[in-house]
Amino acid sequence: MSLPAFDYVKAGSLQEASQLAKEKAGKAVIMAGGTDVILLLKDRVIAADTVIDIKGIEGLNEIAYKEGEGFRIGALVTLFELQSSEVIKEKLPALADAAHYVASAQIRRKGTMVGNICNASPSADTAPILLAMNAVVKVVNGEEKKDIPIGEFFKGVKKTALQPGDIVTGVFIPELKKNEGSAYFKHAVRKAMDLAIVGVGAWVKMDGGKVADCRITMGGVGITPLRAYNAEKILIGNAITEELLEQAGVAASQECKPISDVRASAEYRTDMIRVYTKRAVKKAVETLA
Amino acid sequence: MAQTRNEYWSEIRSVYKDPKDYVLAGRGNAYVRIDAEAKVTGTAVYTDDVYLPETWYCKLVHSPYAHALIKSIDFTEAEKVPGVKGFLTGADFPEGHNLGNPEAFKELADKEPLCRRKVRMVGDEVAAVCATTEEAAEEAARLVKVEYEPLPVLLDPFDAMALDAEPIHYPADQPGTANNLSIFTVMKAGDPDKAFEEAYYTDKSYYKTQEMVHAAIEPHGAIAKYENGEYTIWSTTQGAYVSRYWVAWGLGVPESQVRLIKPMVGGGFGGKLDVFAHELCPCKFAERTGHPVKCILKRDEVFKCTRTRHPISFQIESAFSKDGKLLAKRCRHILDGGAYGGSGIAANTLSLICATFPYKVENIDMIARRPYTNHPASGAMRGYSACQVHFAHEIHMDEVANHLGIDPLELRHKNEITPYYTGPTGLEFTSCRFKECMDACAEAIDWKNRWRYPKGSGQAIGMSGSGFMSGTGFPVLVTPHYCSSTTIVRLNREGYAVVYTGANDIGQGCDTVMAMIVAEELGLNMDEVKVVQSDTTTTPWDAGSFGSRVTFLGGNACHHAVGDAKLKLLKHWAEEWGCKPTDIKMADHRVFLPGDAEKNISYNEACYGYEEKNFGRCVAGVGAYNHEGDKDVYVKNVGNYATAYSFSASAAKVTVDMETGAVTLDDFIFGHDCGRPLNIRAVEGQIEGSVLLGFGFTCYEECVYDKDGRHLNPSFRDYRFPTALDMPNITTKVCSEYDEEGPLGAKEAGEGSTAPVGSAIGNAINYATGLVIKELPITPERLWKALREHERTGKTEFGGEDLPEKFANMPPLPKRYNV
Repeated sequence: MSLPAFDYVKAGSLQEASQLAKEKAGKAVIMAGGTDVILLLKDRVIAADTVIDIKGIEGLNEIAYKEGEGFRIGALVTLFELQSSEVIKEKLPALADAAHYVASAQIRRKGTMVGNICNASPSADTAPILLAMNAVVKVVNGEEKKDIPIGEFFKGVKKTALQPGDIVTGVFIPELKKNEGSAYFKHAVRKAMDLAIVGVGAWVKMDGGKVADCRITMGGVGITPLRAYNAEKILIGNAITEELLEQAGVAASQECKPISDVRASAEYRTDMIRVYTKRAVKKAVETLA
Repeated sequence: MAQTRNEYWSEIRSVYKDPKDYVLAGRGNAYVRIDAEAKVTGTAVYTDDVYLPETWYCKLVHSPYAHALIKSIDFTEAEKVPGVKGFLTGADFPEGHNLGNPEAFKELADKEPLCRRKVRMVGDEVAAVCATTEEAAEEAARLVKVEYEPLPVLLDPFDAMALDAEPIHYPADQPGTANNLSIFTVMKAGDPDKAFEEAYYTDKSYYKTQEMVHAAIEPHGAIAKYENGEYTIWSTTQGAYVSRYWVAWGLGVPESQVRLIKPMVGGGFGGKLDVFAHELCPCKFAERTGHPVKCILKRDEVFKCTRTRHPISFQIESAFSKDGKLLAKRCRHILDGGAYGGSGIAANTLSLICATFPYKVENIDMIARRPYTNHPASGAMRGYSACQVHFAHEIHMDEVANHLGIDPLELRHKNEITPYYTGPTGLEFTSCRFKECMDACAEAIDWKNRWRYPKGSGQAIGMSGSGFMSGTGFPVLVTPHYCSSTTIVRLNREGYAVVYTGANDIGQGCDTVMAMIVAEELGLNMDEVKVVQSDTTTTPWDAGSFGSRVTFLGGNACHHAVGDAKLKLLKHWAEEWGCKPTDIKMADHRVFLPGDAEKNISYNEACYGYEEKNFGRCVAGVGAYNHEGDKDVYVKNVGNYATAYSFSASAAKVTVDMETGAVTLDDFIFGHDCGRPLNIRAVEGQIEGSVLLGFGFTCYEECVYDKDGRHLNPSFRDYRFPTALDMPNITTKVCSEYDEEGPLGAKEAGEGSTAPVGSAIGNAINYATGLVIKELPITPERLWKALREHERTGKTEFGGEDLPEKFANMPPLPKRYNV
């Protein structure tokens, strides 16, 4: 369908964007790259009379790395910048992989990671790895600043914890410490322009030959990205073997809650969680920092 | 006395360039497409780029029901939308003027421009809205209230054939006499029963292919204006003249009052052959309002309301001797025709002809039925019927080879069609390099060491072969001499030539081919040949882009036209110079008698001199190409179908992820016999596109419907054709010989090349997994399901499980067409 008529406001500051978003609560939508927002407007999934473009706001387009702490990814950092950032590829390659999995080369040059999570699609490719990494969403609302742990950010399909006037300025991701590793795998039919049938993220902390701690996260198999707590429990305290990975995979597949749709059946998604849990944990363990 | 075809041609042929002197045809990288700059820079004008002052917009109202009666249409709410200028319903078009495809089978035309009383598929057009903006038209179309009375929905072609089925088109005279067959086709030769009785090996197998779409990047659309009693319409058509015929018929006006212009077309693949509501409604609105009116379909409308590829269910019986000689074939093909006929009615015949390719088989008993269902209408699609047929029959060929313990390549060689073979129903093969195609692929993929990938190891190679018609002679409309292509070439004294080609360039590059043929013969540069694109007012008759006919038939018409002009010019200078026309050469912009420095003038001088002698008349040539055929080839299935036949072979190397079912196509070798390639890069481009299409057909693409016939994935997000990143390395092996009848020796390279791809990949998957998959598409999930079931139960054959019972319980063929 055609794009409906709306007011377009190019915000000059976070405060201006936040103020307007609050005034227009429910009727305004924040736009960065626009690769999701424009489609949702065309398809009448969101009804907004005002589109607030934050691309003109300064200070939101940096990938900042602070040794000993982690990364701060600004709200305007594109997926392409993330996939090709030297520091990300070196210190957190799973995030570069996740960014690279999204849509197509053209869309990744416009679309942002923050947009990807604010769209809150259950199959968003950057969500599982952020969840596995215990990321924190940085938010401004007027003069107020708040941090939302990524585990509390997703509330449902296309639903987040954001309140009217909330503008996400960026995401903080803790760095991988020594003996920690992470990985993300997407399973889709085609190698680009496809939504994940499942996505699995993993973070592990090793102690000698054993798993000291880990987080396994699953995309595309619930209304939000999910943690596979039982699978994590199976791994923690044990040495990685094929049998243990299989047990963890089976546990994760029992924890996911997929639906059947035109892209894949619940049965297939469930088994792919088993397969990719094994593969993601294995890769995380093989690529320790 | 009129010249015979042969006398006329042989005189023209006498002045053709000797192929050894060609500087463009067949040389790699010798020239680029004439539209390359416009397309690369984005300035090329497609239908949606045609802007006329004061244009208004049209939107169509579609049925949400797959099968229903229209009770009422209410425009009250829609009328209130600001900017709305008018509405159309079926009653605005002359009743009985249904749209179809071949004029010769006009009685089978079955599509009303807008449905009057009944809808037969979700998306069927019931009304149209005109407004000053596209947004207003869209809004108003949404507010049109249509009341329907739903009817039982028939989605399975076997259900649709049942005698107690709900009639889709033809009302049943009495209960239990329903006839939902759009068309059925019988092809018989030899004594198959005897051959089966005497054979060492016989079998019966079932296969099934899915519904897919053309997915041309440019959506269908049209813009029409009405001036001086004439409709002018720019449309995304594959055949301006055939479209013009049906637009005029649908409007109920003479063809002289409709001008159809084909601008650049962003891909057709067979999906833009038929005429649709989005072409007729803008014409009618333009006439009513005096404004130009544009209607461009959205992607979901293209999925629902245009055309799809026929899903086919196969029952194949074969008989072989102990040493692998194919003795007989019995097949039953059930083609899901969807809601309408159109270009789809040729699918049956093509499916049966293709079932005899690329092997010699003297005893055949083949029947194809095309029932109507409430799916979107199936139609022509690149590799028409051949992709489905060669998937089934070539997977079957490997099964037979494995049963007989003969190497699949050897089994193919034992039965391959050879040059100048005539098939049992009269198909006349000429040049044929099928053997060479197979051998080139086998060598490149290292077939003899194929067991380096053990069966079931997750990796394997597979091969297959196919044949296709090169130059479908059928002209669609009724023409003198079954003529289907004409061209005019004008030579200009200012140093250039103009070619008025009826051939419809839809992205495949035929405008470039025509310019090259003229440039080659006249010794001009490519940019000194100006091409006038297909337009029913400015260019002569041509049947359109379909049936792998454009280069062969259009190219020959163009070659004859430039030959006619050249002959006139050279006859004049032969007289001036006291020599024979055949002594004179044209090259490098010169006209000259080799070895005589005095008799050497520029092209401009040559044209000037001719005009001087002829009172200013310019040199012009007219060319045509006909294939002396008969529409009976579609009715009785005897006789020759095409002017020549192309052959292909494929070899695929795949890796299967045995845990997920994902298939990676690692390597693909394509051997193609296209005669002399006229543009090697264009041939490679066609083959690479064919591999993409075939890979999509095999492992990716499928239209999915719910039980009410609603399309569940009408978008490029959910209808997943492969992307560039999914494509393998492709090696093209051109295994050609000069075809005597082809233009500059060429045969087709765009359609036949799609036919063996699916079965090569399918055979490779079967060896990699140790299973036999008989149904498409082999998506990761389907393959995963088969692999898991195999682990549990040991079952090895998957797909088409419902078919044995369905084929066994088909009703007899109806009396109406009994043979």
